[in-house]
Amino acid sequence: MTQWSWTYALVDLDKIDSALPAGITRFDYTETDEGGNVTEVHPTYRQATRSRQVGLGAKNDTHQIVKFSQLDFETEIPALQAEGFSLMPQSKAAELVASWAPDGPE
Amino acid sequence: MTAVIVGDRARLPSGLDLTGNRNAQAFSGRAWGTDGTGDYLSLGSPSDLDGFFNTGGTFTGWFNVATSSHYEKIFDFGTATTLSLQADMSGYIFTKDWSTTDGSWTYNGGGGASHGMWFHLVLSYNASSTGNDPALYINGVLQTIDGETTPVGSAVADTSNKFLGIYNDGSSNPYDGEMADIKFITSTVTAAQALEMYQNPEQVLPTGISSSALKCWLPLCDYDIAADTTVGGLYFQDASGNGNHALSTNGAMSFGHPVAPQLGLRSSSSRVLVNNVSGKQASATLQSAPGTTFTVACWFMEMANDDTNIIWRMGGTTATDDDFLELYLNSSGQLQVYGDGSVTAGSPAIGEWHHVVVVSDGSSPYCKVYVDNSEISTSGALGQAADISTATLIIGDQAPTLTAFPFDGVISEIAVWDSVLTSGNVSTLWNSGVQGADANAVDGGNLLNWYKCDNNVSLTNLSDNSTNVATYAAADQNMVTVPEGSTADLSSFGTLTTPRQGSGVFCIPPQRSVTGKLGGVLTSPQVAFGTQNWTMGCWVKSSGYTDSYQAIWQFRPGNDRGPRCYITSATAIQMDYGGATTTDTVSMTVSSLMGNWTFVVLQRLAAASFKGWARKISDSSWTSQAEAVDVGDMTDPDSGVCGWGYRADNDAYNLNGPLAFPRIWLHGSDTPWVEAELNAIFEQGKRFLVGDS
Repeated sequence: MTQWSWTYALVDLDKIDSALPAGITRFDYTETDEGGNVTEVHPTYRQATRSRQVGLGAKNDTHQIVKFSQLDFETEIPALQAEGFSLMPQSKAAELVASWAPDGPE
Repeated sequence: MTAVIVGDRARLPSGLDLTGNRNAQAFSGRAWGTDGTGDYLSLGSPSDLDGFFNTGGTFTGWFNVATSSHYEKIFDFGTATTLSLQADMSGYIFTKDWSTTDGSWTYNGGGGASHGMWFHLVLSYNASSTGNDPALYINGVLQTIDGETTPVGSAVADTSNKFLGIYNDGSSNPYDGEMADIKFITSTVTAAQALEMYQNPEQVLPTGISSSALKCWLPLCDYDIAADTTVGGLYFQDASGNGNHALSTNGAMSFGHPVAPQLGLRSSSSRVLVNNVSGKQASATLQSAPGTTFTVACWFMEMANDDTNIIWRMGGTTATDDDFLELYLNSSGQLQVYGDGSVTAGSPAIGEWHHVVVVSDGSSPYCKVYVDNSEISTSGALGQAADISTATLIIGDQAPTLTAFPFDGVISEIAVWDSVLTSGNVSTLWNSGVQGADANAVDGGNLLNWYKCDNNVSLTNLSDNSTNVATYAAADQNMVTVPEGSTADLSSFGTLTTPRQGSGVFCIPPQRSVTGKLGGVLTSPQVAFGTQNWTMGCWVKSSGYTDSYQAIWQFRPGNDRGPRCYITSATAIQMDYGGATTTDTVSMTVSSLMGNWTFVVLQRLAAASFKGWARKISDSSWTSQAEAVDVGDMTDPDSGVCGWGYRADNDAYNLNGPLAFPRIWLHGSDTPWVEAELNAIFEQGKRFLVGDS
């Protein structure tokens, strides 16, 4: 299913639990502990999925697809590119993931 | 009884006209969509899906494939039991895990399906013998097997996690496209049945397949979340009643599909009582003690024969008072009338509506029993004629003073007459269907009490001769909404025959009704209210106030900015709205709010000018309240689910009834609707809803 509003990043597998680039603050959230203390969280790629505007997709031994909804061109896309990640549209991402698949119907 | 979740009928106007007539096979539905990069559904490993094909199973659903290049999975049952697509929709490959050599069957050619085209797929296979071949039907047509590896050994149990749309590692071979209306049936189907499923997509099961064989039914239309947000982490309801819900990883809702059957949006506000645990019975005082001549009629649907299931008890409420009569099903499924002795009157099928009328005329053999409009030859005998000298009626149990035997199923329309109904009267009731009869029009002068059993606060007595409500022993009674109209087999609770509501009415899962939850939830993306003017409103009809607020709308995902609206008592509506600066509240008292369609509106008229409005369908003017507080920028910075009639975090806040025509107008800096314009919008909605008021 084509999803025009999504951008797909090929992220190094060992960075999934690293913080998003500092320039991407849209998915930041706060946590309040039992004492009422509020902590601002700048999430990792995995934590950012709580927004449901970030999704962790298929992976191989070295990379995982991370998809982002409605990235802006001015700060967010350059921030991901600066990390060295390949960014691609849905069709390219689906094509790439298909190429990772086991070579048989089972 | 297992938790029952019922998918309710939901054709949009292109599917059915306003009188309920079907317009050919046109559906406009939602579906679950994937993008081919790792979206999938997981069913876990429920035991009733283990060994799914081993003694005969059928997998079916509607699919729309966007791309296929490398064995994209329709399903993967965790070992080697999979259904895959061949590249460019050039065919299908089914493999089944066997202990020695896995079976594999290849079908070349798409069967008429191609990329971007909705098609119906049925895969039916019985792995009880190595000699059996699976039957694959595309759009009702049996596909030819072009390649086969005959299995060797014994069929493996397939007890692993079951995936839809991906390989069993949760990553590889992701499906790219949409799917809807997935069903797992523990029975093989014939070619005629496969064709019937394709040709009659609004039918839950083909003719001849028992509802108990439907182990999982995923309509996949639960949300109306825009596709710029995933449905990852959300469950899609299993409408079969077996609790085999599907957890989505990523994925998104997809809309506007003209073929896929859709459930959940258009629904009934008619509800019936669900009982399955102790302490949920309803008790009433009859208008008078029936004595020796009386009639009791009811509709029921038993869900399980796990114990004695009492439908109703009339008369004596203590063990020493033998002037009573009970109607119940014993643990063998036999329908029995019990008083001084017992009478057995057949074994009505589980999972179907039955109409039972017990008539006593004071003479031997003391009572007649009509089941589904036929007088039943009974066995056994009541020792003497029942003489009901105590004017009590208990619905769904014999508790609280006697041992609890809660009815396990749903009950509707219990009526008691202080007279002997004729067989013609019984036929009238039967022919009117569930909730279709007016008991006051059937020997109305002798009607004592009559309950439709459609309210989870208390049961309204609809008899013209009495106002005694039936009260529940518990505050949080379970109800379930049942589809209206004549289409059979639409949900596991059948259909009702009450008049259909106009299009656009949405039924929220009944408040607190975890057991009887059904259908969809009317979610909405966040709205950027900002500092502009706006109007939002909808029609609501709460059937009663319990002890929790009932959400009308909630557009405040972070609980700090945005508007909310609640019913806060049986006569009160409260709206609060927050902004960057502060929050403020509008509170309005609306008499007779319960049970009446009411149009509720909140407006931002200017920076420091908000106004709430409410008007019942029968009102000639509005109740309103204005506030003069500037709350500041109202766009909530938090992401979260907003919606109508419910609060995402707690079923207790669900609206206790239907909701219609939710709308938000963003006016920018323009003047919002003035009263005359609100009047016009009110009249527009009223035209659709007046028949239900």
